[in-house]
Amino acid sequence: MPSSGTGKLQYLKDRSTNALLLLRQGRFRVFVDMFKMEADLQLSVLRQRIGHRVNSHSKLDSEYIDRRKLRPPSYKPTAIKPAADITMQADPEEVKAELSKILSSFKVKERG
Amino acid sequence: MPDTLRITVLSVTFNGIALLEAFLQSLLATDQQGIELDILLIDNGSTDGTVDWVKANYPQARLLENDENNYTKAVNLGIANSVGEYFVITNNDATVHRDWLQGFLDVMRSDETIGAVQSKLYFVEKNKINSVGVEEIGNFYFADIGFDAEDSPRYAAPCEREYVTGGSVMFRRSCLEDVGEWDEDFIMYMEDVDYSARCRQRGWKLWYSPSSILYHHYHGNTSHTLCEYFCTRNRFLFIAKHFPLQLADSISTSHFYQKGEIDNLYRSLLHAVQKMCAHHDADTVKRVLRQLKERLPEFLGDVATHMFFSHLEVLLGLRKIRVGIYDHAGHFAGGGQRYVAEMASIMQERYDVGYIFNNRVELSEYKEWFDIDLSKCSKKIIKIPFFEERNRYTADEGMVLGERTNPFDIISLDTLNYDIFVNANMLGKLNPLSPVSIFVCHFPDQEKTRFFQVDKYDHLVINSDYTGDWVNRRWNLEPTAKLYPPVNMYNPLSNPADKEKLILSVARFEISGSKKQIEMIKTFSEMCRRYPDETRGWKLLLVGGSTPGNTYIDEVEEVLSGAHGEIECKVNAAVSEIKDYYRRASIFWHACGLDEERPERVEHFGMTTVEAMQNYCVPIVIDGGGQKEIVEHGDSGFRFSTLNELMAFSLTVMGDRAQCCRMAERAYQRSHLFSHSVFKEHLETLLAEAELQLLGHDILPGARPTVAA
Repeated sequence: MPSSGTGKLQYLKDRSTNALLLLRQGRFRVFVDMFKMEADLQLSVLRQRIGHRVNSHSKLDSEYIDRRKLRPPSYKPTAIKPAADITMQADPEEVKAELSKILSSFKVKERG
Repeated sequence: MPDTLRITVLSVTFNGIALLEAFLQSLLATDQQGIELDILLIDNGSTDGTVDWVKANYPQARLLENDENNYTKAVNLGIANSVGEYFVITNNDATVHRDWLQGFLDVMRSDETIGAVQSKLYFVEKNKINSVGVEEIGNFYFADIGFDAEDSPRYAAPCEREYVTGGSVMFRRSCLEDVGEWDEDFIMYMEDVDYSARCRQRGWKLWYSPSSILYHHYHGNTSHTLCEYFCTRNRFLFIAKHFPLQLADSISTSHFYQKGEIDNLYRSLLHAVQKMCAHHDADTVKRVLRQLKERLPEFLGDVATHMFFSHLEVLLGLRKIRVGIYDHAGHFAGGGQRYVAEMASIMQERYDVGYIFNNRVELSEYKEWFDIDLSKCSKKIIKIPFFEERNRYTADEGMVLGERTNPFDIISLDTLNYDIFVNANMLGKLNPLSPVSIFVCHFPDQEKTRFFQVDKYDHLVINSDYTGDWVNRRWNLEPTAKLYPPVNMYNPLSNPADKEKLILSVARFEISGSKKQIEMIKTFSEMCRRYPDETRGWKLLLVGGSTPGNTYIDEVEEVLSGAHGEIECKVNAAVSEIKDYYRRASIFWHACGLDEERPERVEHFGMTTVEAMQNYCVPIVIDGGGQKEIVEHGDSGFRFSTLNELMAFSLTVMGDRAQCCRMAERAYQRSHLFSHSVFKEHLETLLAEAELQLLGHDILPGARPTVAA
């Protein structure tokens, strides 16, 4: 089962493969553009992580951290509308039982 | 096959007036031999005059208006309103070659099992390829084949594709009817990839035709973030529909995860699982849920993963919404408890509502204290060891300063059991872990200190603008909703024309004297001494609760003994008596906050003022705190800053019966703003927002690019 580290390695590998392909095809302009975009992306990720760490009081606040809640929240162009009822193909009772089983087996052990 | 083919060409517009003319001109100039062309434009809510312009200049084009800015919904609307044997979807920030339509047909006619044919798309500016098909480039990311490449002979022949772009594609009607509607949950981007996969699942072939040519103005940098957001979001929807067993493994390569956008990751995965449940059987769903249980903590952490599965239960409609209300002082009968009990009594009709207390209290006691029935609510008691060890009956967060860990984490952990958590009594050190959280602030008594958690709540509810102002000043937070306390003290016998010469004050006899009864006695006494004619027959009645041994009562009685005029104190009067005093009184006095510097010693709202107004009393109240929001000076009463002003405004009302009646009527009208029905309405608005946050689906509210490229 790949870890997040493996995922990042895969990402790096993918990007490198793409970069090499572009170079081999002689598409330098696209290569430079892609490189700039990637650098911008990685810098913004780094900036966000550092910023989040610096601004976060979570480590001292509570042993339990809700990692969903980022301040400021991530970019999201959508608002929310009431959802229409969904028709489940999966048997709701079976899904309900599975979710109950998962929740009852769950040990929240997160520490700041 | 009939001699003439009917083809509907659909293009979805949004503020694209500048590009439409060239597009429509090129479309009308296409070779239409053997074709009956039907042009259908669907407008997604343009504000640039597109609709009027099309009607005026291209009457031959049919124009429909979509009620939502949803590209995929517009496509469905177009298909439902199409007339032809073939249906073409195309961008309109483009121009088409003369052979565009015939190019589609050349390939389409070659094989009855071809369901869709994609054009050859060029970038109009660069004379390079935009797309000759769509392919997966790994990890469920998709890209246009030939993107930004020079044209070459390898793109010159028609060929079969796995995926086609919605930028310029012709569908066979029988294919559309067989595959069904486009998935509107995608809103925009990757909806074409999803539809391609569905076409192939149904046995239809997808082809590319090099002789159908479109020149495209590809979207610029402005929409890059929008495109990336939707592609990342919709990638999960696509995987959940078509490759559910890959869902857990696809998280690490999601841009949301890689960019640290855990909020987006959480929400898009929730909707992906919901989508999976709609498309797959229970065995598949269970397998994926188990995989997610193993993998998600790595990406979301333990807390959010627990929340994720609990959230799913309610999102899938498998149980009612659970609301948890925590009141660390719930064993006292105070105004704050009443306020939240009113909320609970409304919420219990829709949700499973559970109270969390630290000490023993029965919910039936709320019926006795406030006449509020909470019989549909449950309760639990969670002791906090920190306070138990110190023999403290009520949790006082002011005592928690130097601890290494937060003593309120025991309650935090319990908030995971709820979908909506309400922190009812301003316990600012409590970290909410439910998907939606509401912090009710009656007044920000505490400064921001260690373990401050209020900024972690989704909703910060205040009881008045005065409280909101101090929330802002002390905590640097913006309240999200204002709920004035509901007041219900109307006496049906009250009549503005049938009032006595009675000035009433209703306020607790606080040991600190913060309600200023002594100051009011002195003022009335001075009025009677200085203006005996004007005050003849008038009486001051001070009503309020008190605890045994209250030394302030002794002080009040001492001042009373030397006062002029008729003044009476009624301590701990019954509600029925108080209602009768309201019925009889012409004027109501309220002085809490007079000469006070500390904001918490000023009335944050002032329920008794509203009670008096509900019974046609003219309120003459302190110009501070929440009173400013209740009484409009000179209209529905008066607001004073000094005791001399209190005297002067009172004499004005006492000396003019007609004005007194007019003001009483205005006060009565004004009091409706603070009624139970208004409270309920505003609470329901807040709950609707909370429900949306919990269960809602995405919608694109504002502008979107001209087309989904």
